[in-house]
Amino acid sequence: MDITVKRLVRSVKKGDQKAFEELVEIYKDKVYHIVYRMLGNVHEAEDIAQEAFVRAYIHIERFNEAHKFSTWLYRIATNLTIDRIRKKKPDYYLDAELGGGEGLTLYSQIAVAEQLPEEKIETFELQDRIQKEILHLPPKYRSAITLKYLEELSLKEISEILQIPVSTVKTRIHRGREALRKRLKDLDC
Amino acid sequence: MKCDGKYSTYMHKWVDEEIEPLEKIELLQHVKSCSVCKGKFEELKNVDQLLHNHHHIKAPNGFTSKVINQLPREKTSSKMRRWFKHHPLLTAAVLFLLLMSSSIYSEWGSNKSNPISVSANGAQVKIDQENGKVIVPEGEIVKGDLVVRNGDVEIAGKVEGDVTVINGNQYLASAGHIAGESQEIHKITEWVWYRLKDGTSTVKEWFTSE
Ligand SMILES: [Zn+2]
Repeated sequence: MDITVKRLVRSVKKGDQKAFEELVEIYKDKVYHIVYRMLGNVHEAEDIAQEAFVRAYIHIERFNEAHKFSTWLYRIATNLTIDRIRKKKPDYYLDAELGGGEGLTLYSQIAVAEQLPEEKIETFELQDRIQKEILHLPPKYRSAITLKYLEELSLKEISEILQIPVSTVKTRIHRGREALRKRLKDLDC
Repeated sequence: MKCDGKYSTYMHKWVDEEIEPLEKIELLQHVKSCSVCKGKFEELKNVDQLLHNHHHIKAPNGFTSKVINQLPREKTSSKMRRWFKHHPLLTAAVLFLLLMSSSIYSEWGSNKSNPISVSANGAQVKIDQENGKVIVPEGEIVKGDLVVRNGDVEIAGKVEGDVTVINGNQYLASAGHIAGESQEIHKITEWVWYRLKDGTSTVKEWFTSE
C-alpha cells in the first residue's frame, strides 16, 4: 500500500493527473470524514475536502517523501477546516441545527434515504447527536477527537498532523471526550 | 463528595486501552463503591462507542471527478509520456508512421538510382558508380566506422570499426578484415531502428525519461 502511494506521489510530482486520481480514490473517504466531523455540514464538508485535494496537488512539490503522504494530506485538510470554522459567524451553526428539516446532517439523510427500522434510526439519532455535540467543542478539541477516531492513526501520527506534542494530543482527546460526555448526559436528563 | 481526579484520567486511559494493570485494579475497586464515578465511567464508554461508530461517513458520489475537474491543466508532455507508457504497441505504430512521414523516410531511397554515399572516416575508398559499388582496396585501412548507402561494398582492405551497408550488400574479400560489427540494412523498418539507435531522434527520450 505504502509503496503504491509512494509511486503515485512520484508520478504526480512529474505532473501525472491520472496518478493523482488514484490518490484521491484512496484517501477521499478519510479526508471527507475528517472535514465532515469537524464541520457537521455535508455541503461545506464536500467543498473543503475537495479544496484539500486540489491544494495537495498544486503544492505536491512541497511534500517531503521522507514522511507519510497521509499525514501531510490530513494536515492540509485539518488546517483548511479550522480556517473555515474560524471564519464562520457563530450563529450559523445554531441555524443549521434547528433547521433539521433541511436534512443537512449526514445521519438523518441516510435514515430517510434507506427507510431504516426503528432501532437503527435510534442509533442514527444518537450519532447525529454526538456529531452535533462535537460542533460545540473548540476547534482544537474537534481535530484531536476526529483524528483519534479516524481508524489506524497512532498518537504519534496525530501529533505530526496537528504539529503538537503527543502529550498535548492526549490532553486534548481527554478534555474533548470529557466535554462530550457531560453534554450528552445533560441532554439525556 | 468530589472524587480524586485521577479516576477520570484512568477512565480515559481505559477507553484508549492505555491503562496500567495497577491503575485498572484501582479504578475497578473505586467504581464498585462510588456510584458517581460508576455512572461517569458508563457514560464515557458510551461516548467512546458512539465516536467509533462512523461507518457511514463516506465521500459523496462523484467526488473524485469533481476534484480532478478543479485541477490546473496537465502539461501536455506528461500526458503524452503517460500515454506512451500505457500503450507500447500503439506507440510503436505511431512512431513508425511519424518516422515514415518525416525526413527519415525521404532519406531512405529504395532504388539504386540514388547516388552512392560513403562515410569512411577519411580513408581512400574507390567508388564505382557504374556498378553501384564501393571498394576498400587491399592495403587500405579505414580507421573507424564505414557507412555505405545505396550501394554494395567490397572490402579487401581493413576496417577498424563497424561496417554498415544501407540498401546494399557487403562482400568481404579473403584479404579483407572487419574489426567491429557489420550489418546490412535492407528494409525501411531496419532503417528506422538504425536511426533510432543512432540517437539522432528525440523520440528515444520519450521512452527513457519515464
Ligand atoms: Zn468516585
